[in-house]
Amino acid sequence: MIVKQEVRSALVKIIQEQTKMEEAEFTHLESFEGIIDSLTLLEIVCEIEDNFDLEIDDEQIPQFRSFDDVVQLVSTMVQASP
Amino acid sequence: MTTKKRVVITGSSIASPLGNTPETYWQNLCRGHYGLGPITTFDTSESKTKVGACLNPIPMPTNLTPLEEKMSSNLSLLSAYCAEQAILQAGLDFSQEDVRQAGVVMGSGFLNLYDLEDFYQGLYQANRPASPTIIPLNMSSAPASRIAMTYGLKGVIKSVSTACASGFTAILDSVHLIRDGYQEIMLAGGSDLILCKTIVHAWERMRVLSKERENPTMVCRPFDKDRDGIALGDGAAIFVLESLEHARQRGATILAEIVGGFQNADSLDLVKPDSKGEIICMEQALQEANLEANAIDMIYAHATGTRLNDVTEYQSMLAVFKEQLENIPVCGLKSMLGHTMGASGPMSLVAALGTLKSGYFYPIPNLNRLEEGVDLFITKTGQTLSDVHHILINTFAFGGINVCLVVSTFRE
Repeated sequence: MIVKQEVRSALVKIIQEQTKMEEAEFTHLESFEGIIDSLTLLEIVCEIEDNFDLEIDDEQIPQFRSFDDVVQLVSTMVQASP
Repeated sequence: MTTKKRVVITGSSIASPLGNTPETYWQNLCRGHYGLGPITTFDTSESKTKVGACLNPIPMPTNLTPLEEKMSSNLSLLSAYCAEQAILQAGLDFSQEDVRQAGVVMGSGFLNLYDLEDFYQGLYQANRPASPTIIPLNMSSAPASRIAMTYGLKGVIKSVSTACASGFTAILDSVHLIRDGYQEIMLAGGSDLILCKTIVHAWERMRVLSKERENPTMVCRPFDKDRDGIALGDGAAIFVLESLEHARQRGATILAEIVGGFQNADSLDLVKPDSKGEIICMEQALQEANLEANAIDMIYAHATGTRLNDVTEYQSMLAVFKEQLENIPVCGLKSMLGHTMGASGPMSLVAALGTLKSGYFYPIPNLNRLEEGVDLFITKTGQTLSDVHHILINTFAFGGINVCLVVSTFRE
């Protein structure tokens, strides 16, 4: 649970920085589709990789549909990483 | 300026890993040779990507003084080499021409990256002071200016940048300048040097590069079911374009005619292509050429080898050519040359001139199994076609910028 909270806070910062949106503008979105363009999403992915020292496969990027999805996916990866 | 002039090609040139003359380049394309190999332009030990299409070395012009060479960037020298070759082939002697009627438009997707990367390394790692020449050498108009100064051309001189369509934008702008009577002779084409560490790493992180990073026979596979991205390459190609009247007046050999072209924008996404924009671009290019879709004998596709681009281009071609598409030979160069960005369109045009001359239709190396639902007329072994008169060439760039040209055999 602590991991997930920490991941969430870090992701809020990353997405705020990359999208220039306020937290409330993206955390409640059902989908990033049409709100966050593909290139910005890619920047977010790169920032997540750098911040959490993770490698995210291309096939996982389509799973980044909403903020909750991202939190879930990254938390799982962080917990699984050595 | 009331009558639109016909625009012909009287000189061509190329700098590529498959040869630095159009003849050698064409022969190597037909033999299915790979221009892709180990990247030698920087130390790849820390890079996932080991393969690219390097020039090894950058060919140099022979008509610059040592000082002019020193005052030219690598990109300017590459461009000047191609300009010299194209002018030689065209048999042009600018001392006999009205140089106010002659210009240059060059297209590059990127700035002069080799030199800039070196500059920044020197500045930040070795605290090397900035040279005052960095600005004039690296401004994006430097290649066009270098060429213009070498020949004393006093017409329209400019550089354009529309990502991977840059070279075709340069050619199309030049066609318009001649067609509408503003210029008689234009040197036009594209050049890009992108195989430097920063850019290769950025493309890697963009997840656009093929995951196969070493074996050229697997790296870039346009339209293949298992394609997984692009390879990168350096290169340049420049043409001498003239009004038909001017070419005739001086008894020039006419290689081909640019009968139509169009540029438009999707204006939707910086990196994702959109079929609607591509369709309009191809249709308008055909309309400019005054040709029906069924008149096209061959298509040089943009065919980058990415999952999304190739399918989008196929859908666009299908929408334009409908059931006729399955009868139109389609080829692409990027599995042999990598993606040379602003030079990619002009490099396709050099190859298209070879096809117009010989009728030869070569295979797309690395294309083993067509993507499901993609039905294209490709060749596995190469074949000679009869009556190739009109070729459509596509360039579809980041930023949603599309440029298509139609090049034809010259007929009175």
